[in-house]
Amino acid sequence: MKKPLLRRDFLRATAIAGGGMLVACKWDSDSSSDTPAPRGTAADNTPPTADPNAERWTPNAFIRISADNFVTVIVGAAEIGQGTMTAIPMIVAEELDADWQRVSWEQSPASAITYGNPFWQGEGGLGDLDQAGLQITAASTTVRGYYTSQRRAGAAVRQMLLEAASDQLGVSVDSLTTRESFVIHEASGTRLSYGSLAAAAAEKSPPSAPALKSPGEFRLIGQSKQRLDAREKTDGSLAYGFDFEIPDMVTVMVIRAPRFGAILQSSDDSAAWDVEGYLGSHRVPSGLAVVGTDFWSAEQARKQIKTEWLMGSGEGLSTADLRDQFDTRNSLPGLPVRNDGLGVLSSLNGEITADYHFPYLAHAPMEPLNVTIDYRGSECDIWCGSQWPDMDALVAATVLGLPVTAVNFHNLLSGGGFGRRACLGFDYIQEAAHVARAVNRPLKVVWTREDDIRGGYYRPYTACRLSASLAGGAIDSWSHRVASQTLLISPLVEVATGLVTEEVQTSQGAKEMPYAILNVYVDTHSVINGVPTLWVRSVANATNVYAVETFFDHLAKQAGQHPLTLRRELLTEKPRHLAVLNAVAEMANWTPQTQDNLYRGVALFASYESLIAQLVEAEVVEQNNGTHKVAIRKIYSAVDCGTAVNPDLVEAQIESGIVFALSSALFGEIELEEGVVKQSNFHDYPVLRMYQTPAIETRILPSDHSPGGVGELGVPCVAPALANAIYAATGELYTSLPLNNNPSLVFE
Amino acid sequence: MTTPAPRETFALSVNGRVEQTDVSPDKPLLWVLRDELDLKGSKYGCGRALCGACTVHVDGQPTRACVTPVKAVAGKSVTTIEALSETELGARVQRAWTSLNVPQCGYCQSGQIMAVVALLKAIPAPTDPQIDEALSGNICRCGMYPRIRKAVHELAAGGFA
Amino acid sequence: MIRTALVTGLLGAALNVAAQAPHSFDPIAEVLQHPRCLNCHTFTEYPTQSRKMVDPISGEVSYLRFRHAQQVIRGEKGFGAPTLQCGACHQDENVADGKVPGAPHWHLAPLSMGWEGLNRGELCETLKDTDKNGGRDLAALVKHMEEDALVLWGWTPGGDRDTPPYAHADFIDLLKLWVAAGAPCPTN
Repeated sequence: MKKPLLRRDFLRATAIAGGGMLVACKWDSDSSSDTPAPRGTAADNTPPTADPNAERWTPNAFIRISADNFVTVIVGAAEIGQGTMTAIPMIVAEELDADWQRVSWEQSPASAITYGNPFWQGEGGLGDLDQAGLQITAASTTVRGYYTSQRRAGAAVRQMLLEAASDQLGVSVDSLTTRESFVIHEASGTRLSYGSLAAAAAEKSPPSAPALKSPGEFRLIGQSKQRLDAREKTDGSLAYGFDFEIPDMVTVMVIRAPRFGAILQSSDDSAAWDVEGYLGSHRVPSGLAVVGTDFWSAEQARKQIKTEWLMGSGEGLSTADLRDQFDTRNSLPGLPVRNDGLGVLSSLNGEITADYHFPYLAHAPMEPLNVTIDYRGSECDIWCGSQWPDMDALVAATVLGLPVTAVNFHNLLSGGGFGRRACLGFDYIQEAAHVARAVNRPLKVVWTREDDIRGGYYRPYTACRLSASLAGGAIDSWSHRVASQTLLISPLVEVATGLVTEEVQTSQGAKEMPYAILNVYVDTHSVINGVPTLWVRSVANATNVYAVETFFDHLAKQAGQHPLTLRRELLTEKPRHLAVLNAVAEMANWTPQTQDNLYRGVALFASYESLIAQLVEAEVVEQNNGTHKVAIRKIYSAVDCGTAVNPDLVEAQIESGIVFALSSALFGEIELEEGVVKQSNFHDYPVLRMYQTPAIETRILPSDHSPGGVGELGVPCVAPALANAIYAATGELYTSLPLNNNPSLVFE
Repeated sequence: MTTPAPRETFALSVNGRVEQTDVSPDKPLLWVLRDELDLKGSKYGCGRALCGACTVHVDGQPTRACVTPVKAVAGKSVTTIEALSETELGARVQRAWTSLNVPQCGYCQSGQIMAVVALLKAIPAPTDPQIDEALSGNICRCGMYPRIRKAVHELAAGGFA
Repeated sequence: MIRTALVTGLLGAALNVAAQAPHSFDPIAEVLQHPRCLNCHTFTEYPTQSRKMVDPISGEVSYLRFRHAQQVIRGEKGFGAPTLQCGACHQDENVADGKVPGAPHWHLAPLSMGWEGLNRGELCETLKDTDKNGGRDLAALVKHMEEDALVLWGWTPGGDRDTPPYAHADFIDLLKLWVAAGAPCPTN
């Protein structure tokens, strides 16, 4: 684990107009923003009484205490549904001893230097950025990355408030306590609100090493508090990017390449002029930008425009051909990423082998992509729900030829992300900037659902070759080879330098295979083709853990062992793994002796500094025609995520991961035929619906470890646990997803 | 592809108020609500009645505004999420949603809530299959279905009054 | 190879026709058993949707019918659950460029008018049975097939949906021929 950046060195407090205080860091602004809209607090759903005009929004702030005793926490991470805007304020409010009913949140401006996640410290590779971390909401890092720095900030401010109270009352700091946004002098019964002390506290120097609470002293952390953003998400008042409007704004839809890499040759918009509200079209690098007065006119006009394209390299690409191509790669040695014992030999002589295949997947967040942009020549404002606002701002600045300080990026709450809004290709933001240059007036680029499904940046197509040998009823050797289209730049580096580099986004989940096997070998291939790919919730863990955990059950069967028993045997050195495994078996009342009409499968996974075991209970009935009818009855999860800051929101993330994973396990697939994406909307790219969702039970194991990530944790084990349950019934190893493609399986 | 019919004037009853709009009769209700009447609580998710994010009530019936031409609601009464808290049931459903942490990203929830209010009006204590039948047209990509189901059951039992 | 298969198939079909005299109800059965009709003339508590399947070798067309995706149900009167009616999505006309089909009074036919899995004889008897067909005599049946908006939609289904065999006018002519012949029913 990386050492978190110690924010205390950089804290600076400032008195603010009206008697409040602001805790900021020492760097100057590299971005600014308008006064944000007031937000909800926990005082359920009463609008905050803090006057938003009482003090100006100041960049670089972490905590603001206003004279009327409201605490506002300025959050650097993005809210894509996972609960950031509740969890981060809880962490600050805990150490601050703030009254939770009077705590609110604001989204920070885009600035890695100020608001970057300390988790990524060193990942930027560049000077100050390197120290600050990236402002990216990805890899389940928000709570674990910001945890320590936010606690220190809260504790430092509390200390400063105590010192101010000490001065005012003429008593020692030791004689004072804090509780719910008041400093209390027990002896005299005096209570001073944080708001009344804030101005004086701002004159104090932030302590260099404020004392942090022990877990036993926590009043907020560990409590299932309501989401602070729940109200505006239930009354229709929250403006997502899709809803955001600026004066004189036009709406733009882009006609993008019918095949990835194709180039627009010509267009004919003569018929579009019959559409009322059509305002013209402009060529941009990604295609043709069609401008309308609003969504509907742009959409209607776009349908009337004919385009001709010069086909690119993607023309011949059909996903049906990839299976053989990837298997061919996997018959050759790849880049070794793990070699235990005589692992390299075991890769050559495995007696039990299986080839796995996983399709492209689209993220399909509920809110399709959109960017609102007001480019005024020398500066620019952008409103967008982004998981990577600092980079999106930088990319927009680059396209617009502006210094990044001239781009005001207003990050909005997103209607889902799953990785799509942290795009390594920066496709939507680059395109919007190009459109802004071409159209030269305030506008919003909107994507329809079809644009979203067909727009690329999919989870990469992946094949795994698993191979093992057994000796004396034990697994003697294990090898796992992955061929996947790469996400990062390593293949380009490979091409340029001839050097092969490890691609973590390919090896994860395979390399960390947790079982105690003497000889283990893992190697990877990075494949390049013209389909743009991206991380999708849990990234390669979803595919590699599927292969690991289903192959494990297959081996257990060959070895004559119960899958639960063999897992326990091979995890004796890993108590936290063993604990989640045992907990989930206990929840489902499953033992190796269980005999009933249900079939069960389990899978196990550790990453993001968290662990999970998931168990699927299913009825599997053989039908007359030889197919098996599968009814998923219940999914159990046992989670060790260290300290659960808000257990109910942890549970919600696990539930969410399960539903997300079932969608892809059962029917998630993007196919290309001659370079054209076949799927287009929720009818042919179905996602799980209410009636298909089984009962879900989740248990969070108590732990004092520091928090681990949970946003992706619930995803990787679901499909293998399900496949293992079916395997228990049919004895068939299901080596490709989605399972619905398997003609012998019918899901209820 | 034909182009939309020319504008006509429609008197629409939305959230109890009569609104005059001058739009193509083919324009979907969703875009009239969002872009003409500035009611942006009803969401665009698919444009094909596949996801339910745009669900509003037309004469009390849950309806996908994204595929409903505005001419089809002339003379009918449209209710959107923005007016829901004005009814006792709507306010209760919203309390259930906040209390049980039902929303994650929240984008689908206007539609979910509209569907749930219609469900509880028609069937005050729905069974699980009735919940499935009423709500399976509303996609929640964050997967909050178990919480929605739980909230419906608790509301049916008189909760959140 | 493909050509040989096609020729053999056509010959076979011709021989079949020769071996079995055509019945005046046959073309009507062909229409009624098309997914455009069957998807809502079900015996189930729900409507179905269908996907066209084309055999890559023989070119033979078949339709895979499956339960309507949104867990839509028939409901008391065939208009869906009170909580999710057919009209929640289906308008009086096709919308969204025909991707969402629609016609006036979009609903399921009553269970008594279920046609799924019937052979031609059973289908024919069901069609004529006034206890099952909403009390329609033969003239009313022709009028229904000729004028009903939902029936007519079958020939203008929008999107990439197939239409039943025979143009609508031809179908009505065939129906009238059958009625004129005394509306005989085949035995199988």
